[in-house]
Amino acid sequence: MIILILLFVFSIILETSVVTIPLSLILLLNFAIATKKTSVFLAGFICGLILDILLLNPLGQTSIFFVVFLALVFLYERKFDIQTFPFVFGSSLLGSLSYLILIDARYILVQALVSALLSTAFFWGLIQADSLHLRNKKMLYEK
Amino acid sequence: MRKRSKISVVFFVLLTLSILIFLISLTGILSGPSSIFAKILSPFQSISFSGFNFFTNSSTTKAKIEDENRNLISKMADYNKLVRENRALRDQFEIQTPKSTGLLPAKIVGAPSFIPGVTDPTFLIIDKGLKDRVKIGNAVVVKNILVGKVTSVSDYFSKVSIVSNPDFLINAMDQRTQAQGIVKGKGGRQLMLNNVVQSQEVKAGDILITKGDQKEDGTGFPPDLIIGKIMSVDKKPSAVFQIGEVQSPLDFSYLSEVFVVVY
Repeated sequence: MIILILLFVFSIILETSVVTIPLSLILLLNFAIATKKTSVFLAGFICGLILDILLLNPLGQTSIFFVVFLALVFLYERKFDIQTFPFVFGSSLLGSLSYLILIDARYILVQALVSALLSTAFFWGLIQADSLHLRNKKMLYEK
Repeated sequence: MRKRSKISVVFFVLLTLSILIFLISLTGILSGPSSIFAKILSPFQSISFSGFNFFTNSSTTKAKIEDENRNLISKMADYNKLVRENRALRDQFEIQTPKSTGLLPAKIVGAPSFIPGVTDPTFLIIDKGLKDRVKIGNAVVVKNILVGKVTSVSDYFSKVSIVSNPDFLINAMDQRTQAQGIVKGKGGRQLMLNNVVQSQEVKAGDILITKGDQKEDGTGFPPDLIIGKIMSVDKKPSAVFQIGEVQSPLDFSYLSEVFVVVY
């Protein structure tokens, strides 16, 4: 949990000072896909507010986007398996594309593609971390 | 089933709250608390920006050359200005533009771009706001070179739209021939000169300056600020206007401090 909060803080600071790649969106998406918890909505709401405050955007603008985007992800979860690489890649690409259009960024397509690749890599990292955790647990159980 | 209904409830509550905050923020009521929050978080933002800026600046000598180039263009513009003024026998105008008393130094705390140090940002966040007399529409400069204008302002911070933004339009004038036109941003450091009538003379190498459209409250652009250098001119006899490619002498990704023109 602490690592997750630190990751969110780090991504918000980077997004408001040096990069336009939607790092918070990538984190929120991976958090939603991996845990399927409703608390991700609250995280999206808070992240959006902080981003708007630091980027001097109208307050709530990014929160609305994050909350709606996460709702769409959960809507897909009802009918499809969302814990797959194609879904992570596709949803990150579309989400980033929409977000970059909203913030009026440059090089939208390239940035969305980079975001999708980053998101997929992060998802792969999460899977590896999870399998390592399970293996350790199994070894402890066998002992 | 219960989980699904829980998701729906959380979604609708947070969406309604977000829309409410959005609507309230448009009235300006929330600007006070949000400014205080931004002030608390700004040191982290500033450290992050300075860290990246230091890293990208120290890796090459490009920044030094860019600075030298800016100085030369600035000196050339000053020289041309003096020649023009002497010719017109207007010695009373022998002053620097903009007046140094009207310049408010501001530190850049954020300048998000695709690849920091490589691609240029579209806007800058500076650490001066309403409390420092900054208003929407104030010009932002480095030396006597135009950086952009303030587009959004809170109590302690301002957002500056860069001159090369595609939605940026400004009345410009050729410093040598006084030919007038409109400059529009094209992204990066590139700008486009348009609406120059065929009878007026513009050529590659000329320096474009602001025509000046400052209002009584100090917003708008003062005259004689350098916008950029004309790189090429496309003059077709069949066309109504001449168009030209312009390049700003500033590399916006290397900026760390700017000045807001306040009066």
